Amino acid sequence: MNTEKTKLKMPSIKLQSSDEEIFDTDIQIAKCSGTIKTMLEDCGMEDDENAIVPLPNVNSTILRKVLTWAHYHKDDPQPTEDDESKEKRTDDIISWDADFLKVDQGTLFELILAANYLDIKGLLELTCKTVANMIKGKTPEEIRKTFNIKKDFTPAEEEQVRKENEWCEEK
Amino acid sequence: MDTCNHKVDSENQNCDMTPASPLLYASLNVLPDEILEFIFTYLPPYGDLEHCSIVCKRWHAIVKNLVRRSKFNLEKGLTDFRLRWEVFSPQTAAAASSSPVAFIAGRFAHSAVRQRNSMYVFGGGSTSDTTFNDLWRFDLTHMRWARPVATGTYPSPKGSASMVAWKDQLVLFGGWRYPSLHPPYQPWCLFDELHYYDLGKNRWLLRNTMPCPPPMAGHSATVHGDRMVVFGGYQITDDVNINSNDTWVLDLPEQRWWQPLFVGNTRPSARYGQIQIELDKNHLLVVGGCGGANRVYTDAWLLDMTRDVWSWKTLTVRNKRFGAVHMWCNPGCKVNNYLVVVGPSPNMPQDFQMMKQSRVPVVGGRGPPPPNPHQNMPQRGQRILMPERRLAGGLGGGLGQNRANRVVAGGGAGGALAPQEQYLANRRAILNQHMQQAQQFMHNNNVNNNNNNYQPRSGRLSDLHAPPAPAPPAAAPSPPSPPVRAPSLAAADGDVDAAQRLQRNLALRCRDNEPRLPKRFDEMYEDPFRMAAFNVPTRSRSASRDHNERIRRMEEKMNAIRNSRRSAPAAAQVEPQPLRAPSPKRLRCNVQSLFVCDISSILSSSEPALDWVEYKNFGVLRGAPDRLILSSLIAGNGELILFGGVHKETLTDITHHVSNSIHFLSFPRDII
Repeated sequence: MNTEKTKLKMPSIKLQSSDEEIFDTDIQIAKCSGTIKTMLEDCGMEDDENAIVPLPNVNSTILRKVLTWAHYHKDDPQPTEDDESKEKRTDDIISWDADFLKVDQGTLFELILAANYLDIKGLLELTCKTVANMIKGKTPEEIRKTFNIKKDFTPAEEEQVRKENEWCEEK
Repeated sequence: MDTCNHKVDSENQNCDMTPASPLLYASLNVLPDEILEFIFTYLPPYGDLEHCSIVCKRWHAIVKNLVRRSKFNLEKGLTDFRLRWEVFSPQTAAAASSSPVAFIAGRFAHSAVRQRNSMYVFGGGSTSDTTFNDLWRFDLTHMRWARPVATGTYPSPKGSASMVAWKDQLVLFGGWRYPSLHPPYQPWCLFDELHYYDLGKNRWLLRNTMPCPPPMAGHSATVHGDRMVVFGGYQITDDVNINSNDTWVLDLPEQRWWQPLFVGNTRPSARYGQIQIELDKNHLLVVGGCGGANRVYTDAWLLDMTRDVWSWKTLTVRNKRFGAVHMWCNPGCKVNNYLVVVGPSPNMPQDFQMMKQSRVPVVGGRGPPPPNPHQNMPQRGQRILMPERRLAGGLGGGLGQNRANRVVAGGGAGGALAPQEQYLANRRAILNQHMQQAQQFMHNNNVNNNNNNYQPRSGRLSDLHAPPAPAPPAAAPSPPSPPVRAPSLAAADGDVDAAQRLQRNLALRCRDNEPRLPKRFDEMYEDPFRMAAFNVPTRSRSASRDHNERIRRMEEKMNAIRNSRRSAPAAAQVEPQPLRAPSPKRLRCNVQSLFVCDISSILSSSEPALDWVEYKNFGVLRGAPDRLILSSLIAGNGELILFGGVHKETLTDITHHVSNSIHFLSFPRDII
């Protein structure tokens, strides 16, 4: 077991990854995860310095990445619902995030799962957007190749699917 | 108690989660359905989503689910007004691409239609009173504009034409060349041109067919199987402008026009600018439109084409107070069970108007106005008193007159002006001349009140690009008016403003002299009174003595103001004004409201009716675009697409503020 001994003045908590590594984390950063926030608040663990939050769904490699991301974005403003016109774009990923996500697909997908499990909205959006950008502009065959997906349509089925237009109204 | 329950819940949740195993084979399919669906929401719901649906069976099912959900969300959002506008402007496009991107010029009264994953836009009016004949394609999948290199016989430049998609072709019919203030290049006229555009070959084909409908504009058209049904429109018969309530049918494969027979005489009154939507192969709905003086319709008609003999049926419209009001210069389209219209909200209180000074989505001839310390000052009383009558003429007429007068006085000196300057000066001189003619008319105030006998104004066609013209006919009753002091000093300009307003009124009323010149949309829109003289000859407004009397009083008032100005010491010096001083009003952008009408019962019920949905917040949704008129609205996949349009108040200016932004209305993305 690899326990970090450093005691910080700032309130911190310990997060335990699935491979039982302990991460001593600033409580504010940890709370960007809705899951952890709920756990702390509901279980009254906030004041307990030695409480360990088990995160059995996240391994240490991924948890470290998640915390790195959360640290960088800890001061991000909360998204507001304003009346200003939003630009219609899906490729607006800041360069730090883009660099952060220069990882292999396995890590990317695990990050998505972790972000989903930990309920970190910003990271989930970022990672899903990244995958969407990988899909964009590709033919179905290219998509299958890129993401290691097996085509399970028979030619007849494929023909049928190509003809369908889900958006058309049923009359 | 609550805490306890939560604790249990969260513990259960933890227990239920099985520890993630390392991903041996990285495949997107390790992700659960809902996450894949969430990823797909980041794809434009067009080509890319189609590709996803044929990747594998699982993806197919997920896409199907996503499509169902977003259709549902859009409809739900339309009824509870929980949608959001997003903008795609040249800035958006430039930010998304490193290389320069092609972008369509701003326009209004254009024709727009969706075909597969593209929106096609043809023609329309420009910033400077000309019309386009270009065709653009907006690729919805890749979110970019392109102008196909087309061959064949191009259509004439025109606006208010109908364009529909049929198979792999676009069908363009009718339209008018915008009533231009510089007719040497584009004399005003109506068209009966019928063009097919072959999308595969990028080729325009002009179809000459006999018989064919008369030239028309502002008509409406929908496709029903292999037929295009055209209704109404603005036409000219025997030199008299009329609105039509005729129905024409084009057999699309045969390119043959015919007119159906109708049961009885029941049919909508004549109109143009109406919204026409296809309900099914044998039914269409006509809503709104404009029939002339004070005849802006909000009624609804069902055309039944099931039998050999067709029939019109008038429909009950419920909840009218939540309905759209100007359904002739504002666009609408159908989303499944709903008719959606954008436009101004009649009930919105004045103080509701939104201030959006930072936004410059509108492409005008001059770009954003330069910063001006006066811009942020509170509006002066007059503007508030006359919110809808911003005085384009105040600049275009009043100042223009000053400039024109100076040019005239300067004689040959005008030759030194740059061509464009010269053009604008000439344009003002002509406007000025018209005004003086009007004054003359009113001074003579002949017994004959029929303005159709009034001589058409002359000389305007050739004057525009000519070298400085000699002074307008000296017959003007008053001596050449002294320069009116420019309203650069906000404190003292109250009466100048008033004079300019009067001048503008007169100048606009001059148009009545040309019986064949249609009132422009803006004129009808702004002043229902004014259009009385135009569309409905039998109700000529000028036939009213009251009216002439009113104009005479206005004239007197104007002269009085002028005289007071003349004696003012500062009046002698006229500061050259920037061509278009930034108007504070222009920055105070009112925004589009959304109107939604339930049309689901039209075909299914024995008591067919339309039900306007009670709006929230006056139909103003987050990110609402500026309030423009003569834009286009089409239905996309899970979204609505609004394009182009013109600031109503700038239509009478020398350059109009027109938009080339696309606004998407969709459901805000949900987080899972």
